[in-house]
Amino acid sequence: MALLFLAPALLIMFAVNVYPVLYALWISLHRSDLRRPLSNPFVGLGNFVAVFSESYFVSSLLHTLQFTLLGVALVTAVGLASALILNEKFPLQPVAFAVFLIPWAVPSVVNGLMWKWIYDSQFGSLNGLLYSLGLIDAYQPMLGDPAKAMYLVINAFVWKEVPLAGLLFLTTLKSIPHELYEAAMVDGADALRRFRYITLPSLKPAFLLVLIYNTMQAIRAFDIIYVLTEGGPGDATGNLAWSAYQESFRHLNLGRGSALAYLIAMGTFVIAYWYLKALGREEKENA
Amino acid sequence: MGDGFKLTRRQVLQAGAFAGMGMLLGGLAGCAKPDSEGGTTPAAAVPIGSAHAYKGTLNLYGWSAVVETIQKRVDAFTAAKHLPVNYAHTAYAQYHDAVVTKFTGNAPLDLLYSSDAWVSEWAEAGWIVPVDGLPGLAELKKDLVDSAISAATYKGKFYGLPYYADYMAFLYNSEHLEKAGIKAPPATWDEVVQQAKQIKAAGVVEYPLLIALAQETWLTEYIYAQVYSRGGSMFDQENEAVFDKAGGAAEAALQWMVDAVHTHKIMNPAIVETGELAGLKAMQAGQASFILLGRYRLSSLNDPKQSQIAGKARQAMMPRGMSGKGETVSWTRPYVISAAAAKDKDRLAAAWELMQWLGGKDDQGRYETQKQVLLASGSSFATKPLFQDPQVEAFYKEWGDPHVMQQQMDIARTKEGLLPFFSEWDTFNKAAWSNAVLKRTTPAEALKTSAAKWRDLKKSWK
Amino acid sequence: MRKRLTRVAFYAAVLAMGLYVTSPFLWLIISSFQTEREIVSVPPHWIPQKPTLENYQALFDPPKSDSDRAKLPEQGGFVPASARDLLPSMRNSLLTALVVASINVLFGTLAAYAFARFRFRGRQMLTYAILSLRIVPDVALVIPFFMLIRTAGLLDSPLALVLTYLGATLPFSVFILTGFLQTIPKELDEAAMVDGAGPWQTLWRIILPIASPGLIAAAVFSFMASWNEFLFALIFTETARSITLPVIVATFTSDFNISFSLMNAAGVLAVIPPVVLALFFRRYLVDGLTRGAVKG
Repeated sequence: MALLFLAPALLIMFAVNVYPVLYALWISLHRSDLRRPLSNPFVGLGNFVAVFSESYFVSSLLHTLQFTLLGVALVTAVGLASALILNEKFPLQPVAFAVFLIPWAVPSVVNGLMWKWIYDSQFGSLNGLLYSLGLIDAYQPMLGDPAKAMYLVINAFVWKEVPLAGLLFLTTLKSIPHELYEAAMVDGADALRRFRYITLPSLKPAFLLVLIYNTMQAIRAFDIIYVLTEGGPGDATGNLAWSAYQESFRHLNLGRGSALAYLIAMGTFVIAYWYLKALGREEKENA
Repeated sequence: MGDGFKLTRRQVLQAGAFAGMGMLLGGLAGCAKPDSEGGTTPAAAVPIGSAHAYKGTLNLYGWSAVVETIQKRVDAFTAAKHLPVNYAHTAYAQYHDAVVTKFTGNAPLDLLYSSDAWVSEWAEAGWIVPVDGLPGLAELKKDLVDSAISAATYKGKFYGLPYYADYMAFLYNSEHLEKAGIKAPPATWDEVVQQAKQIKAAGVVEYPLLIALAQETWLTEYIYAQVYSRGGSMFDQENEAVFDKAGGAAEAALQWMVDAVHTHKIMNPAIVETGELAGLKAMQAGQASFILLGRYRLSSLNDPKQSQIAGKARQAMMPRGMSGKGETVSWTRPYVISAAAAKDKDRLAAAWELMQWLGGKDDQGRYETQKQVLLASGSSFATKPLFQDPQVEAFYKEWGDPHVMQQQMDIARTKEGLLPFFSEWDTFNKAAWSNAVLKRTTPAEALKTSAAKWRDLKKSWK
Repeated sequence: MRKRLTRVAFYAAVLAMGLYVTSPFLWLIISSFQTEREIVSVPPHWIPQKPTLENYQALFDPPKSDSDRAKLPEQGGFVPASARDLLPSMRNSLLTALVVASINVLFGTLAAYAFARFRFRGRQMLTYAILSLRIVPDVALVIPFFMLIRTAGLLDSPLALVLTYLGATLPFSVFILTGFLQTIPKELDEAAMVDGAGPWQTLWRIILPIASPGLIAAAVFSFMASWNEFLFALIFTETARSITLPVIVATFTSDFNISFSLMNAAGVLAVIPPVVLALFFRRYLVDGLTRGAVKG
């Protein structure tokens, strides 16, 4: 009986996804260099090994880590802060909440375009703002400055992901029973203690979701890099996903591109698994 | 299901390679007999059928430039030859990657645009076939400028007639020079620095020099132009890297740019982010005095509807340096025929008809498409007879100096090193040059790592 | 006194949050109403001195030929060729997203009901299998998907994107819908069955009405995901028949000419439907997420 209900969704999900996922794996295990179409031997982990020794690998990996750590930390922090704010009653709260969702609704390509325009070195509004406030005396290179570029890209990513995180935190906050707080106040606990011993622990499930979801988004971030910098300047903003794209489409080496993508997949899997274990265990401790 | 797909793709690629080889052999056989003066080629040694016998639709794929003009020409083709054509296009920045996907996925493609840098890679991948030996080619080739032929030739095989060809030009704002009291445009790269400083001192603009260093396709040409104009080379006849020679033209060029930004302060440090388009806009807004741009951009710089400096933009010869004469780099974008189309000889004939219509002569013997493309966008052609066309001459006179244009074209050189792994090295090289301008490495170091990368790629390609 | 400081600090935080969220978006809108001449001012004109609707006009009624294009002074002749595909692309995006959202709700709810209410072997395994389908980044899947689509003869067809997006969105929809349905007390089911209703009727008559916030949440999420998607759309589509909005918008930044003001106008158009949707359905999003994703 269950099968009947499951069938339509399962059929589509597996029919559409299984072949590409397996074929991509097959590609990564063979030479799959389009410039050598007549020779496609099985190379096992050869592509994976080759990728590790490529000149771009270390920097792409570091950038991915930088992007993920900083991006996820910021999204979580700003999301939580926003949720705490929106959880309070104040005039215009409904407006604030409505407006808060906008970044999430903006398509990633438009998000990239929007920030690209803001960051423009010659005519952008970020330069304009800093200049008008007297903080700089001439327009600065923005996305063209390797020291800044990554942070600007991360900012664009964070801006778009904050609403969803905030929403998850907010809905969880709203489900914390009031009695808990009232009991704590009776016991003389101040705001900080209430936050630490009631709010935070209750937010664990939300933390879990926000961390997993944003880590996955950050590790695989591609659209934003494609639109903003294409990995530049030099290779200052290239991450693993971008390198995978470059290998496949610019250098015609599908084998390596696929290998990189599978490395990302494995990394994602490991991290998600680790999160579940770490936070799941804590829940058991607190129970 | 998985096995079936693997076989299909391989079979197609193999078939394509064999078809290509077949045509090569046929072409070689055809070339064994000397071509008579302006006569017809001997009976086709290439297995080509009849375009009229082809009952399907031709698929034309290009990038989104002058689309209406091309569509009109395609419609005229269909009306004249009764061959329907499906014309699709995408933005230039995405074109290469879209084509890679299409070929790999066996999407229907017959005739498509290519670029000199991609011919070797697509040929090696077995995606395109040479057009040597096809009827009428020899005659059309006689009208082509040499660089357009060599740019579309790989391993001795010629892959297609040009969609358009152009070269990197040195453009300047004559008004800025006047305001700074300069009588004539700079003839050497040293003079460029001097004049830029004068212009800056006169308060005309903050950063008179603009060479767009963003990591995009144009950077390759900016690099080559500066090296060539100093009499240097990037690669030698055996495609060995020679640009890392100490004290060579490449090092001089790169050092010159580093100095322009950091020492003389005549170029904006943000230039590493500026793309060709942004550079064009800046020039149009009168924010730069000297710029490197494809020659065809001069028409938009002098168009009052697009540019605030209309009438003031001029072309000068590429400045000289060291032992150079101011040579520049030229490029060609050829049409190419897909290996899939070549499998069916009637389809091949039809695709060849379309290539001739667009890249060669139509059935009235006119180079009509190239002329229309020129008039619509200033993008120029590579066929010598068109230069004498009165409409073309009048068009050029409107916004340029035909004399300088011709002079520069005479000493334009094609890009060296167009081997199948060129794009991989090119990406790396551009990053290296960019890093040098950002002062993260010295020019010598940048060139050294870039040359090492080339040698690496060359070795593993064998 | 302390209370006052706290209040001031609080409102400052509210203001900061508000600015952070809205100012980039507002700048997008303001830029779309500037002329090309004005938009390149240094420093920028925060309020346009000569606001214009020309950019939107150019998008809704794009020039039909290269020479017409050159005659538009406000954009400096920079209307990209792809502009005439903008409206068809919006239509394609809309249709695709609606179909994807509907099927997500339909099939997703059925599957979620099975997960939430039935006990069957391999339930846990299946959940992990479904979630892990989405673990490989799109970058690696593009060419394999392309070959799949091509073999099915669906190149340049909206159906290709619909199928691909369904594959991508169903796992998440099933996930939140399952969580959502699990919060509906089983007693309701039992009461219905005592009355003689079978599982199908229970679902239809009893559960669905209560579950509507979750359904709407799933619909909105999958609509958004579908509207936003870029990489597959870029590779699978070719002509106005199937091309979607993100692809057109991307071409605006990379065509042979560029008009900043036009780019921003295109961006605004691309943003309107999802923003309207998000605002309109925000209550359901909260509800749907509360009970679906976050099991406090």
